[in-house]
Amino acid sequence: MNLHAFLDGDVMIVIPTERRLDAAASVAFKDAMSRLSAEAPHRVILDMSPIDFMDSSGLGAVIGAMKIFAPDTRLEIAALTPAVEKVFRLTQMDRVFVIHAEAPTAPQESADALRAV
Amino acid sequence: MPFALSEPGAGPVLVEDLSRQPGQFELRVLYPNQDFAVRRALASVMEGLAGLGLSEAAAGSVELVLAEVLNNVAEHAYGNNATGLVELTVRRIGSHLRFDVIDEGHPMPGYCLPEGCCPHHDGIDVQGPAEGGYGWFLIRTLADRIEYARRGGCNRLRFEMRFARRLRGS
Repeated sequence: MNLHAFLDGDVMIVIPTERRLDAAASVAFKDAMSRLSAEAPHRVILDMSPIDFMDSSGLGAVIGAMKIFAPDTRLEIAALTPAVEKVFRLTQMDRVFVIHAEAPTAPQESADALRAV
Repeated sequence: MPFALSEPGAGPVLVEDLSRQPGQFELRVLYPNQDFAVRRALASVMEGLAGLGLSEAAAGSVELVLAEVLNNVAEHAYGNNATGLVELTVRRIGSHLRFDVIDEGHPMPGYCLPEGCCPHHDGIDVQGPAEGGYGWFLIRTLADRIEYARRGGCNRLRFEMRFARRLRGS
């Protein structure tokens, strides 16, 4: 799975470029998040607005990414679509992650800063 | 009328509409176990169900439960590398959709359905939440009347899901 990342002040925003975080995508997602971990600041917000389907493999990959980032970086989640929100809620992962209703948007001048991971 | 869907590099998914009369709904999907086959099978089922007017939440639950069931077949029954067929039938039974999934893979451990407890029902330990084990929990939470049988060298899983219509105008 491809990700885009940009810095908003001291927070890194990460945006998946695909619509499904499922069993077929979960390993690539976790690998891409892992590549980010070396340069990640203290806070990373995963903008999940593009994801309209996530299964338990995808959820496991998000949890795995959180563990790769810990303890130096905290992974937070933002902008869940209804189908994804349901998986977080049913598994009570909405109590584990900080979940923001909306994700910060990329500043206009940072087109360069928005890069593929 | 049977027709085959195929993508470059992907095996065929056979989709058959077996509905015989107005109001009846029966769809059969047959696919070989291989990479991305679950995605294509799910897309075929969701496309087939589109005409039933399921609410967005009901359709989302159907897709999630089916994904968990079919991923389990790929990962556990067939062990990812094995070849084999998966046959999925969806029928409308009154206010429910009934799903039958048949595969020729390894049986469920102990010939029983997994219990499907939430992995952290005793609380989350210091290592943080588990990365796996949510699949059967989600299936058991969202599906009804789950039955499993091993017959004729095949796994036969049946479950039902409530059929909630989209509200008019939404």
